[in-house]
Amino acid sequence: MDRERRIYKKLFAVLSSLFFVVILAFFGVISFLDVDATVSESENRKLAEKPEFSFSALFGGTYTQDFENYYSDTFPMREEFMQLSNKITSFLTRFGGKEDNVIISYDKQDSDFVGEGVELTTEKSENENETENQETEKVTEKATKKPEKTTKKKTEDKGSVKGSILISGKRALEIFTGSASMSKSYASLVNKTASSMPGNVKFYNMLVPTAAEFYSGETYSSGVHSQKNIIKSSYSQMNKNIVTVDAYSRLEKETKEYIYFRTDHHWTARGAYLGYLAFCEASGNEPVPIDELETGKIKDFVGSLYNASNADVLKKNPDYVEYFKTRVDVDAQVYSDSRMQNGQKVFVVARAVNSDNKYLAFIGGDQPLERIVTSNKNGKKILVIKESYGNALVPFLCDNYEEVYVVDPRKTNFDLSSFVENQSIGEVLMINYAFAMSNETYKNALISMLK
Amino acid sequence: MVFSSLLFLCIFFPAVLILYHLCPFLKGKNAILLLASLVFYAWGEPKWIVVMLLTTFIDYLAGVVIGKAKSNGVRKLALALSVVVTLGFLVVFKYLNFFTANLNLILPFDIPETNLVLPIGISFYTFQALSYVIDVYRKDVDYQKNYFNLLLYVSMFPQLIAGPIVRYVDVANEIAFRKVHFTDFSDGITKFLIGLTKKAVFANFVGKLAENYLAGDMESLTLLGAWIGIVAYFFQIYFDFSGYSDMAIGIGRMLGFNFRENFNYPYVSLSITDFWRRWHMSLSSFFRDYVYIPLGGNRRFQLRNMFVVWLLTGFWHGASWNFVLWGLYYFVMLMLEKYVYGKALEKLPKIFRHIYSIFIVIIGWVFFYFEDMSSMGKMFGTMFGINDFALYSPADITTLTNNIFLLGICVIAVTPFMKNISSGVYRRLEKTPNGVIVNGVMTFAFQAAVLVLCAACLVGSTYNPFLYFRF
Repeated sequence: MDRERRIYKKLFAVLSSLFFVVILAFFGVISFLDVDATVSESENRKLAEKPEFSFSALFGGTYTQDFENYYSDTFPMREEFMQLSNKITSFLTRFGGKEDNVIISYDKQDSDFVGEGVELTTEKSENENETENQETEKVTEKATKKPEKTTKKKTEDKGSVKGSILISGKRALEIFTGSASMSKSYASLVNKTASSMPGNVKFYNMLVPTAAEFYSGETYSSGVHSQKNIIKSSYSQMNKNIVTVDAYSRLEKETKEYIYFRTDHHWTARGAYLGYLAFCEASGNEPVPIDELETGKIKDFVGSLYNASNADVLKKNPDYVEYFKTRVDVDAQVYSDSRMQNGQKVFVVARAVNSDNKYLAFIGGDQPLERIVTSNKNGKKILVIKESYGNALVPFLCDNYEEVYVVDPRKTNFDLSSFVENQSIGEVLMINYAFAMSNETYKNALISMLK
Repeated sequence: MVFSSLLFLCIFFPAVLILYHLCPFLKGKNAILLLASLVFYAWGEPKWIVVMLLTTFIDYLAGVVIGKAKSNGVRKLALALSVVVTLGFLVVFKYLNFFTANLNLILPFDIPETNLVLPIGISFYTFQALSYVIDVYRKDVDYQKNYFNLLLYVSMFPQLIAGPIVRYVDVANEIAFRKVHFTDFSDGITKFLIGLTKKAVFANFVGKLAENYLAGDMESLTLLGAWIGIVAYFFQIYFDFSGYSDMAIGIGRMLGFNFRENFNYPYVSLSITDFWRRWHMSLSSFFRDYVYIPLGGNRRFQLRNMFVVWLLTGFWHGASWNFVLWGLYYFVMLMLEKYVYGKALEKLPKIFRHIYSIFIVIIGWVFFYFEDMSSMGKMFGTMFGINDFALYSPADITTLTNNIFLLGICVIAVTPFMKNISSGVYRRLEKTPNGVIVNGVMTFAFQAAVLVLCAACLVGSTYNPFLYFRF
């Protein structure tokens, strides 16, 4: 009996040992023989390509890293394993998850929430697909190249940003959580920025709520999640000479309109137009009527919130980008810093975007410094300090100013106040969405530009 | 390369196993293992592999000199030289930046910073090499005559980059002679897969939850959120670290080596003293044997000795003040247990002792997690209600509900519950007539299922960090 037992024991040990090695080796061999997929449909992204070997890449450590990425991206039966993995994920982390009650944690660094590593080239191209043979303005993304050399810094700003996404129906919403210290620290940043400006400059601040405020239901928009309260409290702590712009009430009234994307964390141009109206009211500008602007749509936009959540429902119901061309003629140049040399042309509003991130249609995405010269001859100049939320609003401003300067503090570093003085800029608009209030990367970047 | 990568799992690992076990003689096996280990290391650290080769060579020479020399003076000199050089590499690569950065804060002029990148695993292999030289000096073990055998010990890929810190004494015989039975191999698979599950399933999922709260902006953190975050991290670090150790031990078994356990269910400890007998045992025993006892142990200057040991333990985990704080925090807690309330604690019902230990350990992880002091301060402020904060948010409640299964399984998995059940069933069945077959089938089914599960999680994961690059 004992002998038999030992034999059985050994037999099973042999079986499991051989099985283990064979199955691993089998997958190993297959992975080199099978044809590599290049695109992952379910993840809405291009898969890694086989890296090219070089000794410098090898010793720099990038080759092996790239190779591992390539290997796991092209693993055999990848889609099947992904499906299983999604099942495990939803079992472990989606309990009680009816359609509108799932919170998915995400890593902003993974997606392009912060818009990094993107260089834009713009080209005027004849779009062959279009029957009208119309000249198309098109934005192309070159993801491989690093952004233009800005005056050092910015590379160390890899602070990762984490958060939670709520899937509600066909919409993804980034849940906002505020605190008293958040509104205070943002207000003091605005105060500091405003008081560093030359004395005669008019300073505006606009805080924009996100879609979660209007579409996530009572639970996720009241109490600590209320953006209304935090915007109000932050405004109340700002110096008297700062003009606060009430975009909130205008957005609140138009929530039936398409003012926010459902798959992306930005507002649409239509939403941004409401912000622009609020700004005009606060600054005494005459707003351009939206019906007078030439408009069009860029289809099939699946944005950052899909990339971060992988929720199927978003992929199946993509957004579109509605754009409004400027009424005046504009010429926009991108510069790496305040010396404004070697400018590169971008489109203030593009009719097509050759990238997954269609939000790049507006002012060419996040650029260090942009100078837009319009055909207006009123001598008015404005500087916009912004993160990506400002992008959709800037085109409307062109109608009221002769020159519009746009700076993204995360992308460049120079002395803001002397720039404003040297360019004799009369007005400064600092525009942020609610999440920027606690974005250390953005805030620190701006502080470093105040001398 | 890390164990929890597909490239390791499907290419490197099976290739090594096949070559290794097809080779009929030990010298060949050792050569294959050494070569594999060097490739494994060079894959992640192509430049600084030189440091490892050099450290080992110096300690090899020192071992030979100490082993052969008759005069005590020569032996001492060789030991001193090798310790200084070996630790010197560690100091230069790991601590020099830290020292210069801190000196530059005080000094009126700036010392240029070297900005050397820490070679992977240097803290682990340096300690292994040190233990070898010291053991030879103490005549606990014979010196190794073959450089390549010593290099095999130092660089052996299972324990190279994340421990356990294996002692030369424990493997010296196995390097010279070992045999792998199929039952060892199969047990090794189980151990490896348990480790892989800890890492690829538990640690990665719960780690994402932790990051969600702790790596976000501190200003939107609620009190409940702070606690969810740190509890998730409490689980993550255990599953990640003990998972690596289990994988190392499992791979060792498959290759014919028996490494000691490194974690013994530390989260069921009854006191902090108990915790440190169960957590990263190879590190605490290293400090006990090579620092604490030589300094005088509990015979003289015990307080000083403890202080030094815990200062070093903290500092070993990373060249940053928060790790120093973390070490000293444990020094204080251990002293309190020893001299103040240890006796009283023992009289309490077990449940309170568990709660006490877990609470102290969780607080410890706050020191460990936040390298930046201002975030650490905010975290403590929020956790204990000192900051301007909200108690909880609806989103926290939903997150907690969504993750309730994950957290529940984590609670069970940090205790020996599953192990006791499965080994109980196994032993019982073994005595029944067809039990051996049932056991065999179940083990096999378990291994296959877990392998598929882990593979899926590895393919699907966007989050698979290597936590020990600071060690």
